[in-house]
Amino acid sequence: MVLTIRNVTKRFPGQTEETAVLRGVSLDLDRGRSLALTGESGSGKSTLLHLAGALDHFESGEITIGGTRLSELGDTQRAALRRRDVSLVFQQFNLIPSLDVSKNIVLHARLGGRLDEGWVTRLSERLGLAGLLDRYPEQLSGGQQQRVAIARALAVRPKLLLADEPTGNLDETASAAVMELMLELVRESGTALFLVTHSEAIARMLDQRLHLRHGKAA
Amino acid sequence: MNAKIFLVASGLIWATAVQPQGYAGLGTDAEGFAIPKPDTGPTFPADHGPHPDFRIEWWYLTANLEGADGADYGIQWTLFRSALAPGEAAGWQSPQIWMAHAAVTTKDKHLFAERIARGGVGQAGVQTHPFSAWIDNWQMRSADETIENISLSASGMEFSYDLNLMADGPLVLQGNAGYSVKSASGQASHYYSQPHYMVSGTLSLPDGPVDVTGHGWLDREWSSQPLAEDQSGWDWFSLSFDSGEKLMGFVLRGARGDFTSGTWISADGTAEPLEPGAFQAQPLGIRDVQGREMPTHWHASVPDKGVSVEVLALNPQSWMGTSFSYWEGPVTVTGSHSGKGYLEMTGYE
Amino acid sequence: MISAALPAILSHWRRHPLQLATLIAGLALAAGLWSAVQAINAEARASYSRAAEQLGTAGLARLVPESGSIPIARYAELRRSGWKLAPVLEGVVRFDRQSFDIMGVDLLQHPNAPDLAKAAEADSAAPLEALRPPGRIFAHPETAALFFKAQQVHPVTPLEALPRGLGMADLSLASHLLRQPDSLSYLLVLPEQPPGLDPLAELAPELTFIPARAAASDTARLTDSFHLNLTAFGLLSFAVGLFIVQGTIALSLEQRRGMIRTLRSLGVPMRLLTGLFIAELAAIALVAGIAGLVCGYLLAAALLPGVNATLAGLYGASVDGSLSLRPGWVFSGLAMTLGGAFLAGARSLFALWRMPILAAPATRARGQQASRSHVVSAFSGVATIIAGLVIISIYQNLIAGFAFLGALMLGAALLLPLLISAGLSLGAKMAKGALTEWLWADTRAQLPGMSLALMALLLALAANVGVGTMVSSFRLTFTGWLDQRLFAEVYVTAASDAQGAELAQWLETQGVTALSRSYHDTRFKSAPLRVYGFEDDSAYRSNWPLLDALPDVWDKTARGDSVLINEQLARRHGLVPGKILELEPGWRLPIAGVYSDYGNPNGQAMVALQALQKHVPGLPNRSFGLRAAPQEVSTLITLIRQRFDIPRENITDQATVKARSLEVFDRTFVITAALNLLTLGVAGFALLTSLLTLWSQRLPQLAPVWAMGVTRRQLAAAEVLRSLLLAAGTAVLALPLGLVLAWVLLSVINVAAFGWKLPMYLFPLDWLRLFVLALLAAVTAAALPAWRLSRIDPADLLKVFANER
Repeated sequence: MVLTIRNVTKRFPGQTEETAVLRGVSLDLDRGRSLALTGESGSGKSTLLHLAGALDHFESGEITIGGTRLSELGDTQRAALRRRDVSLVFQQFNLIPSLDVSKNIVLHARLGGRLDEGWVTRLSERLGLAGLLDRYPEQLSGGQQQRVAIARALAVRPKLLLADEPTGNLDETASAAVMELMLELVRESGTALFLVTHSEAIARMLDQRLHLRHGKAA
Repeated sequence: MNAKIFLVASGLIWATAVQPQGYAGLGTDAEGFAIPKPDTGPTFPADHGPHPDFRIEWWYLTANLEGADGADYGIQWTLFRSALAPGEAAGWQSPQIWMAHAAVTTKDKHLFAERIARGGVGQAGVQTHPFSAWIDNWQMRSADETIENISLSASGMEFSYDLNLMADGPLVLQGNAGYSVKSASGQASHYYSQPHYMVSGTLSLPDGPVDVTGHGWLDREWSSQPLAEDQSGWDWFSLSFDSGEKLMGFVLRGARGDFTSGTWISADGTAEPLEPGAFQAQPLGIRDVQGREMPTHWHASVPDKGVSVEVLALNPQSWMGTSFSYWEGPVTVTGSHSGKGYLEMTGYE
Repeated sequence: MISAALPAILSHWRRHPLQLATLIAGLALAAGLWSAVQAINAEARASYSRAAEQLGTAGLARLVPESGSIPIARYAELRRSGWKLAPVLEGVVRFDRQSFDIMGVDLLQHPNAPDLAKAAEADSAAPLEALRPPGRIFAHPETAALFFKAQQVHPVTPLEALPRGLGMADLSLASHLLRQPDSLSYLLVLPEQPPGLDPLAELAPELTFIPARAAASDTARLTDSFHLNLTAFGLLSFAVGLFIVQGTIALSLEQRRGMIRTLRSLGVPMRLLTGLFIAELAAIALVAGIAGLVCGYLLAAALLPGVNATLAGLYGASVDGSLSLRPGWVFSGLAMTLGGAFLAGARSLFALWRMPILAAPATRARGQQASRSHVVSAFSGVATIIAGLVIISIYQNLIAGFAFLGALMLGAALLLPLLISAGLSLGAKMAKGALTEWLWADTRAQLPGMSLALMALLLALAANVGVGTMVSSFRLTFTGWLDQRLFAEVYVTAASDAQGAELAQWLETQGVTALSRSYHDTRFKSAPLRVYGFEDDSAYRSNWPLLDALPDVWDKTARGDSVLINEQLARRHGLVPGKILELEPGWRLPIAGVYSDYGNPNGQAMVALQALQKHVPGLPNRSFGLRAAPQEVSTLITLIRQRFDIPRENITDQATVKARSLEVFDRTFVITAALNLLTLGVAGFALLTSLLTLWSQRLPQLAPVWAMGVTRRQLAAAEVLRSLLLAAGTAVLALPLGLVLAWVLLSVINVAAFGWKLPMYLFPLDWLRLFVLALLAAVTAAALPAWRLSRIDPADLLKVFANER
């Protein structure tokens, strides 16, 4: 199992046990598999994703990534985990504007010490970025930027790829194309994909599905 | 004895008013200064020059003038010398201080100016060979060592004059052969005059130049202690009658009674000292002058000489608002005798 | 509508109190430094004009001699031509080994005589007593106390209205003390002159007529350069302060774009909104201005003693110790703050005015776009520097010198972003790790937001290097010059000429060489000139700091055939060896050489002692420099004291004189050091505020990197490192700029201001210290943002990724 979530509870300051953003959520996600997390706005989707990405703390329950229990990790170890085993793709792309496309793509992999030039080249080609490598993010379209973000995330060869509405800023055609590419690459690299979406069409493209309502699996 | 001078000793810019014992402190003893003596008659031309061993001295000239248009004018030119210590020294160390007043009086104007100078540096002084008395560009100058024929000039912000004076009679020794007693207790001065000047020249006034002719009167006096302790001021008359006779008379006002004296000068220039009390003067009219009540209309008499005249100021506002201030101006004379003259009044505060 | 819109607009500050504080602090800082300098200048100027008025000469024209003095006979002649003139004799008198300026006036002519008379009367002195021996000295109460202590012969009357350091006396006393019975320094032309006088130009062609205003204050003329200098510092601080504010205003408006758009959609007209923002800025500027004035006042009060020391050290001018509050100063300070705030906010307000109702927020210029603006800025920088070079090559005066400095500094500041950016690109190319590569690139991306602060830092550092190099070079030169100039081992001043002669005779029997140090004060082209008489001695030949000389300079001068002059006199009047100098009317000598004479504002000349004695009868001869072997100095001093009744203070050994001179020198530059440090402090603050301003814009850049597994602590460290990187780059560029600045100060400004040119020395250790100081400022400035970053709640970083923004 790449990702297991067991009975996780998360409360933001001011929230009671009843109004907690996550209340006892559990799930499993295996290597090469993909899971769509759906739910209404405020149901806790993004929070769960952040927890799975070792970006935030939770009150109770347990999350393990590749067998590592997150509750036992300190800040530095969580950072190390993020560097090597977890990648993220966001709706806003969140590219580094001061670096060109090629440097953006390899940034995460180099931080994690897992740069594989061959793999990066292939990724770039597959994502249609070969001709854009020396451009800067501000010179790219939204679809192009998201493909760079995906390339950056996969260049690490992460165990787990977390994506939060990755196509939320794209039109339908671009959205479908980006999703297909991502799923293809995830399968090829054996990465587990954990994706937050509110799009039924996208959810259907994935292997598993979890629907959240008021912080609980529905 | 045009006297205001006295305050020169303590006044000037430092003028700190009148000391209790007399007008401008001249009643004090003369420490270290020479004292006038009755037996030393004047010698000329030496006595035209300064006497630095005496505390005070002046060259005092007044003239009654008439313009081509018949208007009356009066002018004054006075050089005072005052010593802070007896004697002379070179440069800034000189203890002598010089001051001069000049004025032009018309019926309705009285213009005056003042100059002050240190002795020793050449800014002011009196020389006898030839005779010359000066302060800045004010001058009384002769071509020789006599004072028979002198040129006179002075200027202020609003006036100037340039006059020639020619003596038409001898020098007059006042008092007892030039020794003039000033109080019953014996204060005295050396005093002589030249009252016979024929004057001609030009006055420059705000309205333009005026050619004038007339008569002038020069007083020379030096002393070290001219006022008695109780004396507070004086009224002094120099009158020239149409008859050619002249009268100099003064009243020294004192707490212990007034002291009067004078000289009668006959038409041929012979001088005759008047006994104390022989000359009398009473105010007839009081005028407000710069905030003071002053008699600018007098009755003067010398019964012995049959003189009983009214003396009336040409311009009652002839106030000399200088470092030390006094009234000095031309007068007209009517009555037993008619004529013109000058009146000086001090000590009216 | 206003009541609805205003709270919305103002609510911004409740959420961003730090921004508000920065804005107010920046404006207050700018206003404070500027108004402090203004207060000091105003106080000094008021003090000079008070001094001039105290002398009663402020409104009076003068007649001054071309050289030497005016004989009193000439004065009498001019008086007899009708002109009302008041004579003045000036000079220095020593009482009890202390020097006093004496101004002799004719108490019967001087315009201020009535005040003196009143004071004498209050001192219960008899009228006119001051005209008679022993005379009377009038002096400011502080100076009067010194006179009292130094001598008991002449009574002293304290008079508040007189300037410090001066004794006024009647000419009878002054001419005696100064031993100049027949001469005067100048004549005052009294205000009321009778009409119809001949013109002075005809009557006295040999005297120069100086109109009232020009004559008003030698001091003001002398010290103009100092005040210009101070003003330049003030303006620099003000500009730096505005740099701080400009960014903050821009940010506060940018952060409210959303709100503005909403308000406009709700029907609030743009005109009203702009008006509200202007009113808001005016209110903030007013608060800041008042705070700045308070700071400025306190600062000025704190700096004034230093200024005083400087003025006293350089020019012998003194400023009253107390600071007074002038309404003009308050209003101009507030106006300056308001003006500055609007100047700083103009671009942002204009952008706001032009903002279309529905446009998306303008993307900040980054990366490639930023480079273009760097190039434009660099071009204008080069143009500015060229303009400065043109000015300095055409005019070589003080104003041109400062204009060149200004152009150089501004131009260099404009060049800075391009240079730093180029440096960062180079760094990025050489970087190895991913994190360092990101750091370089990110630093470069941040440059637009930081460049104003960096410019401020550049200017502050360059000013520090420049002024520091100037002062240190000056000090080094001065020390060397002291060694040359003070070659005698003992300096002694006898109480009288008789004692002086006796002393000289005795010293001869002892085999001690005694070199006379007699001098005569006169005037050359209306400025004071001191003429020293020297005795030929090998020591002069081997030691005297000659800058330029004809062959056989010492032989000629020792024979009395020529004269040596100091550098100030030479530069001021374009005198070079070979030209003729008229020392006194009729005494003309060719100039054989020019020597350096630092720390002296006035002209000076040296002639053979015999020649001086011949032309100045009764020249005092009491001061001597004695040559002795160093180990015999203390014995010699003891011997002299046993034999002659000379007070201890009148015998000084070389070491003491040097120590005193250096002490004066050091005090002179206290104010410079203080201002230098303050400017650096302001630059550090600018750095801090720009980092804080960038803070909220930084999170979107940092969050993804953090998400990729870089810890917050690493990010914080990177933040500090970035600040260090920028500061270091700036410091490296500031060094050459500072050295050029130093060169201009030494070779252009000093020459114009003081009349001496100084060699330039380099002080690498000082640079190192400054470099470290710059890094320290950078670390300090980055510390707060870095600390906040290291402690930031992950939730705040996660907000960056939230979908609904």
